[in-house]
Amino acid sequence: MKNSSQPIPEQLEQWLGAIALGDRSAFTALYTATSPHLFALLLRMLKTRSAAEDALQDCYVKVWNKAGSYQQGRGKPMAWLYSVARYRALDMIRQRRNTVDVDDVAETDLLSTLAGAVEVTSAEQQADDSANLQRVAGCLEELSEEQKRALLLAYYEGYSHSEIAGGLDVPVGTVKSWIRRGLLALRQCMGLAK
Amino acid sequence: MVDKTVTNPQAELDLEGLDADQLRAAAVAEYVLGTLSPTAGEACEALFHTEPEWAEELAVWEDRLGELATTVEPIAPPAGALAAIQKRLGWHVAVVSPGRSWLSNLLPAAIGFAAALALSVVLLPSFMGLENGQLATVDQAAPAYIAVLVDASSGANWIVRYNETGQSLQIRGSDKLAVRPDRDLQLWAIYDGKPHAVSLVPRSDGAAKMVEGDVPLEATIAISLEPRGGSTTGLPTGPVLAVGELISL
Repeated sequence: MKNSSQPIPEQLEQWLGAIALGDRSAFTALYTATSPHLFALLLRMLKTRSAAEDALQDCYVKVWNKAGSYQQGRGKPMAWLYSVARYRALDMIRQRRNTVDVDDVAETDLLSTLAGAVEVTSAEQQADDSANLQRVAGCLEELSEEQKRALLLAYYEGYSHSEIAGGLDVPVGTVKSWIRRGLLALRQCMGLAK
Repeated sequence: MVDKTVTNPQAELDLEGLDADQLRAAAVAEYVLGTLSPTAGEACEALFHTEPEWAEELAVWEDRLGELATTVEPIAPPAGALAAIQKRLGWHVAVVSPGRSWLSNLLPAAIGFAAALALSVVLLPSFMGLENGQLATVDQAAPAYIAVLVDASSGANWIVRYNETGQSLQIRGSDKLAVRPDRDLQLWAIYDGKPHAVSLVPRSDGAAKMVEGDVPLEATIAISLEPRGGSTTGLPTGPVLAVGELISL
């Protein structure tokens, strides 16, 4: 897995603090540093550039208005920004579900997506300077193939239980079980269990 | 404790043999992943606001699953995206008062996240009675400006008085907001598009602190919650509690 030149957390925290006080130059700096990362995730989930750009605009309007709600120590600033983006993308995907038939998700598409999501090479691992990412990747590798596949399709593509079940031709209940058991196993592996 | 009147998002999970801790974790993890139903998702959001353990679980899952997003190679967004965002934020709206144009952007934003209130002139008469020995150090003959910063959630208010001629600024403390021993409130003056650290805010009610220095009258005054001793970065790092502007007495 890659960890492509992520912005420096301390710098992001400074910018978010300044944005909370209305500092436009900090907002522009934050946008410049983070928008390629958010746009790539949004494009991955929403599939079209126009939808991804709409979502990107929504995200940064929210960042401007809600920067004060980010709390240092509660989480990493980039994770907060990714969450803002994912929640917006998920909302748009849900709205789209109401108007478009998405039952015919091809398994080949799902599998090619999955291959891209979980491809790990030793060279990339050596270049990866994120211990947290390595830990998540390592824990994912401990899941069953089915659990990992279902989790990653939900995370990167925003697919619902029924969409994954349709694509993989398994009962919805099976997918639910894979995801829930997979998440709890991930939690155990990452030391989140109290 | 979970509010029994709120739909329980854990019920949707139907996981047998799990304790309450695991059930909460499973619900929050699925919320972050995006696979909860809208109804269960809304129930989770209600719990994030009322149950600290749920909010903590949310931050943990957003952090951990957020690592997966770092695997996606960055892609430059369309060139016009930033301008479109700035337009949506009203930054290209015609300016009525040149020195204060950005205030119209700051205040709605601040109100949205920090329950901030700007000065209400009707409050002034009661605050004018605050003058004690410390306030008397301000040159009363010189033009004076005042800002009242109010934290709506606690009712705490802080008085900032600025003497332009003497270039001195005075901040009066409030004890209505309980500040942890390892934290301090910090006063900022925001001008030239940036926040400038002014002073720490006295913790006790009525205590005043005088600061020498030039602050433009168009500055917006704000108070943020910072680590003990104040921000070490030169910029606010904590939540903004109150925002106001200087007006002439």
